[in-house]
Order: sequence, then C-alpha cells, then structure tokens
Amino acid sequence: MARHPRERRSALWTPRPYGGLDRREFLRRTAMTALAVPTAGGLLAACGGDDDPKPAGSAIELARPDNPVRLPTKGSAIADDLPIESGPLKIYNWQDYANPEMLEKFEAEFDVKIEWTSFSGMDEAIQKLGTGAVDFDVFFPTIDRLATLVAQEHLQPLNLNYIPNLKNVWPELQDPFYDKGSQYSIPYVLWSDGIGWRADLVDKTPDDYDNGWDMLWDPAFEGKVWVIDDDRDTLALPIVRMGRVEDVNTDDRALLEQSLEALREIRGVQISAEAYQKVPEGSSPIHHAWSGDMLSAPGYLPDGVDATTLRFWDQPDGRGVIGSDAVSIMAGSKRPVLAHAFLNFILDTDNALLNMAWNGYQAPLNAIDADRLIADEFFPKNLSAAVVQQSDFDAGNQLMQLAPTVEKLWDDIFREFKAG
Amino acid sequence: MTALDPPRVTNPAQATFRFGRRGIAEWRAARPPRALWPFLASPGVLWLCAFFVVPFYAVLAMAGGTLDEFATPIPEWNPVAWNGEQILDAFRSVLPGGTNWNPMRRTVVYVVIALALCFVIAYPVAYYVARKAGRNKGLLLLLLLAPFWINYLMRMLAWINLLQTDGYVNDVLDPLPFVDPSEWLSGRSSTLILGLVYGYIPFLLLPLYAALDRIDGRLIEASRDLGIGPFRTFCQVTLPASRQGLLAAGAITALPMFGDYYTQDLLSRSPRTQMLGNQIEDALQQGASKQLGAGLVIVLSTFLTVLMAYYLWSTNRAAQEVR
Repeated sequence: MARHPRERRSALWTPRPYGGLDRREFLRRTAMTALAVPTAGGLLAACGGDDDPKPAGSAIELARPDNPVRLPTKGSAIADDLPIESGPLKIYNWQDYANPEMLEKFEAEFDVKIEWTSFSGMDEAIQKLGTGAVDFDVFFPTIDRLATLVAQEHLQPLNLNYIPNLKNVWPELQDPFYDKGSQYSIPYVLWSDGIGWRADLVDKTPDDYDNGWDMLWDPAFEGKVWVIDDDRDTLALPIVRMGRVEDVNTDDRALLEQSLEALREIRGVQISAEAYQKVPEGSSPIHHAWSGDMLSAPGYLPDGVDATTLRFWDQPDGRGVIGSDAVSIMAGSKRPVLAHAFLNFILDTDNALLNMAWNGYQAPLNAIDADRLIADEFFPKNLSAAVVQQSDFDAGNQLMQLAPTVEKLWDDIFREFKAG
Repeated sequence: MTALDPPRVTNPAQATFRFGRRGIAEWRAARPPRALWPFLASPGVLWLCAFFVVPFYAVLAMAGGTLDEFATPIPEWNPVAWNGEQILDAFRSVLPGGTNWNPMRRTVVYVVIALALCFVIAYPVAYYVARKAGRNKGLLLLLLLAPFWINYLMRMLAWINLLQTDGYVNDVLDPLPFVDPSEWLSGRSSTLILGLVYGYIPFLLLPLYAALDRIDGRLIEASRDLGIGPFRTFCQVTLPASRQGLLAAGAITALPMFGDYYTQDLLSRSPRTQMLGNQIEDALQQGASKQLGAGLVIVLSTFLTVLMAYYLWSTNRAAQEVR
C-alpha cells in the first residue's frame, strides 16, 4: 500500500496529537468538554435550497434539512449475530483518505487483509460501480450522490446492531436528513470550503479585504490562484462570495452562468484537486481548498519550509460551504459482517483520532471537540480556521443531492469554465 | 488437400533444381497463396476488430445513446436509433462560437507549433546521426533515445520540479541579465508547447532518421560533382528525398499530440491552455456528459482521418511518381 507523505512529516512541525497527554487522557478530557458543549440543535436546519425537493419525473427525492428523506428500502439488511467472515475486506475509497496505520490496526484486530482501491472522483467511482464488474465491500460516497446510489441498488441497508459506535456520532448525524435512520450510511468526516495559502509566498490575507473571497480575484495574484477541480464546490464559490450561501444547490441557470462569468474574472486561474500537495510545495500559492486538505498539508512541505507558513481561511461567520462525507456497504458485498465491523471500527473515537492525525479530516464524534483540537495543537495553530466547528453547520450550507438534469447543468457549465 | 496444406516444394531453389523455371511457374499458378495471406493476417485483423472496431462502435453507440432517469448514459447499439442531433452537437461545439471552439483552436495551434519546433530540432540531429556520424551512429542513436526509456509521465513530473518557481530552470536563468525568473507553471501556452515538443520528439526523430539514412549517398555526391553548393544540394536533393520521411514522421507525431491531455494536466491546468483531449477526458471521467465526450472522440477521429487521408494520398502519389 502506498504511503502518504504525512508519514514523513516535516521535522519542523511535529504534531502534538494529545497535547502532551496520553491518548486515553486526551479522550477522557475531550469527552468531558464535549458534554459541556451544547449540541447544535439547529444543525443543518438552517440549510435550505431553492429547488423543488421532488422534481417531476425524477426517481430521486431530494433530501434537504427541511425535507429529510428516508431512502427507499432496496434489499434487506443482514441478520443479527452472524459470524464475521474472513478477509480480504475490499475497500473503495478516495485517494489518501484513510490512514494506512488505522487500516493496519483493523487488519491486526480482525486478522484479515484489506484490499484498497482508490478513485479520484465520485463520477469515476459511480461509473466503475455501474459496470458491475467490481467486487467491493465498503464504499465512501458523498452525501449528494447517496440517493442515486441507493436507487441504482449499489448499496445495501445497514444493520445498526453491528454498529454500536454510531452512538459516538453527533446526534444530528446519527439520523441525518439525507438518510433518515442511517439506513445506508454512517458519517465519515467533515470539511469546509475556504482559501489555503503559503504566507511566505503571498503578502496579503483574506482579512485584508472587505470580503475575504476577493483575495482570489485580486489582480495582484494573477497566475497564482487555483480553484478546486469540482463543479459543485467551484461554481458555488462565487455564489458564496455574493453572500447567497442558501443558493449553493440552485437549479437556476442564470445564477450558474453568473457564477461562470465571475470565475472567468479570476486572472490566470488554474484548477486542481490537490491543494494538500500543491499549496505546501508552493506550486499553488493560493488555492480554493477543502479544510481537511490544508490540515494534511504540513506533511507535504519541502525541507526547510516552516509549517507555520501554511494558512487557511473560511467565511468567519460560517456562511460558507460545509459538508460531511459518508461510508456505506456495497449491495454485492461478500463480507457484509466484516464490512459492518469496519464501519463500527472507524466510529471508535481512538481510531477516528488516529485517522485524523494523518488525513486531516475531522470525524463528527462527540468526544472530539474542535476547540480542544486547536488548544492542544493536534493541528497547527496557524491552521485553526480549518477545524470545523459543530456550530458551523448552523450557518453554512451543504452541497446536497440535485435532480439529474440539474446535476448535468452544473457539470456542463463547469466544463464551459474549464474550456477557457 | 486443403489450401492450407504446405506445398510439397517450399524452397524455390530446390524447385528450380527439380523442376526448372517452368516448374516453379506451374507451381505458383497452381497454388496461389490466397488462403495463406488472409490466415497470416488474421491475428492482426482480429486484434483490430477487438480493440479498435468494437470499441469505436461502442463510442458511437455512446455518442448516439440516451440518458436514464439518473442521468447515467445508456449506449444505443442500434445505429438506426442513434441520436444524430446529439452527435452533430459535438461537431457544432468545436466550431467558432461553440463551447469547445477554444480548446479545438488551441489544440491545432499548439500541435502545429510543437510539430514545427520538433522538425527544426530533430531534422539536423537526425541528419547528423544518419549521414555524418560514421561508426558512432548506433551509439549516438542510443544516447538520443536513452532519456525516452523513462515513462512519459515521469519525465513530465520531472519538468514540474525543473520549472517550478524555485526550480533549477529559474536558478540558471536568474543570474542572466535581462531575464526575469518566470512562473513557468502558471498556465502558459509556451510551457505546454515545450512539454509537447519534449514528450513527442522521439516519435519524429526515429522515422526521420530512418528516411535520411535510406537516401542514396550517390545522389548527393552527384549534386556536388555537378558544382551545386551544399545549401542548394540540401534544398534540391536531400530535402525532397526525405519528404516522405518527413510526412510519415509528422503524421506519427501529430496524431498522439492531437489527443494529448496529460501534458496540460501536469504542466498547466489552466482553462487558458485546455486542449480538446482534456475536454474529452473531463466529459468521460466526470459528470453526466459522457455522450458529449464520446461525440468529441468522433470529432477528433474525423479530423485526424482527414489528415491521415492527405498523408496516404501524398505517399501514394509519390509512389506513382517513382514508378
């Protein structure tokens, strides 16, 4: 299995994952802190789209916080108390999206081998699943595609009796609006969209502008600005800049075209999905980025570059794009009990922390308190903005499921942007 | 006896000995190898069918297909039911005003410039190795090709390190007067063109070398003996004699360049340098526009077919002139 460069972190930044405490003590303390933090009662409730939740003729009901969806039952969950199968456990996941050390721990604990296959985008993954010529047990979908995957019968219903660690998850995500009752998915990690940059290569910060996003449009940075190679995140960028975060799931062509024109105004803009690598290397001094990418960026710094040069900014009032990814079990899994055991394993707080220390993405677990992560320098202080707060979900908006025709509209307009 | 049975006499010399010239003629007349050649060609034909004709038909089926309720593309295998309008849309998109006009225009411009640079660089090198290197010919050829044993992707990744802001290229250029260190990887057409030249020049070098090596040296000597200077000899003898080699080398190099997408992916990633290959890759890999991607494959194939037709017509005409 390929090793993530995070395993050879720069000697200039040594993480102190547990603030000088041993892991158990850290967990105990953070759990205590979490108890003191009120749960985000309005989590996701404020998020809303302006499109019709039930488009005519669509096979998919569009889940929204104000229209939670119980996904249709396709097939049945496995029975209780079945013995765990022998491996290998076949996992289909994003590239560099899980700590190899955590996977090795699972292998040792269950005496199985993990076979890992990665994809670089959800379309690519779904296309491969659609061929039927694959044999995966565990899959990592984004929530905006979950309903499609269920409708296409790629996923199997979960038997939550095998996943007692689901109780560790934020209450709101134990029963999320996109999959009421966690029938098909458990939450994996959180992220927000923001700007990542190297402070030694860029002489301004978003705080120097009335609207922080304007940094990307500053002509002084011509040829230095990169945006995420993802139609949803990048077309949503100008919409968020306009202060219309509630429209990031729009089906309004005029608004998307307005967004396209705005993106074209970024001088010398370039496109990549590797901010975690390009920003620390300096090849992308300013990058529209996912928060987790920036938290894993210190591992990619060239020798001699201090980790304090890395910065991340996202909308201070939280009115930006936020999200959580999910984990599911494939309908055709030959090792469903083992796959359930894996889902339960990654929801264990200890394992989630181990995962976070490497890939930078936070798990939405009660015991993992964001303030504590910053205070104990689990992540470098200069990247504290990249730590997602539970309260961010009150103000921000998620990229949610679109009707297929609207999805195509976003895709076509983004391709127009890429055509130059 | 079947047509595939081996002839009793397979060695023409032996046939001459046993039957004389008349015997060979009779044997040839009696047993024309009509079945043998198709048999020998069958692996290649099968290969072409399995890995070109069938996949290309699948591309056509996808381009003319439909979308299901989840916007998943469904290929249409019956050509009568193909959505011709959809395929025409792909053609329209590469015309001026179309969404893919800019990538198409850029692709042609980049390939033409890169090809011209390849010729300017490779021709003198190939000429020297083929005609002037003497005993060192093999060694020089080996040295020229040695860097290209490394995978294309690896070589382009190496260029990223060389061209980045604090890379070696700027380290070298920095002390020079009147030269500013540059952001080579900030989406420049020039970087992309140089990447294409570097990546594809061996495709040009080898056929060109072969063509120049085959030129009859006596033609050049005759020209010089008749008092024509080296420059005019080159223009009037060597260059025309290598014309077919130039065409073949150009065709072999230009074809993959037109479909290239990795060079832009690695050295630029800017919408300003997006090529048609990138648009095809994007459409096929991401989103619900697989049909457009398949349509663009047909557009590119049609465009290249026209170029290939010109090449074949030209070589055919040259062959007729020789006869």
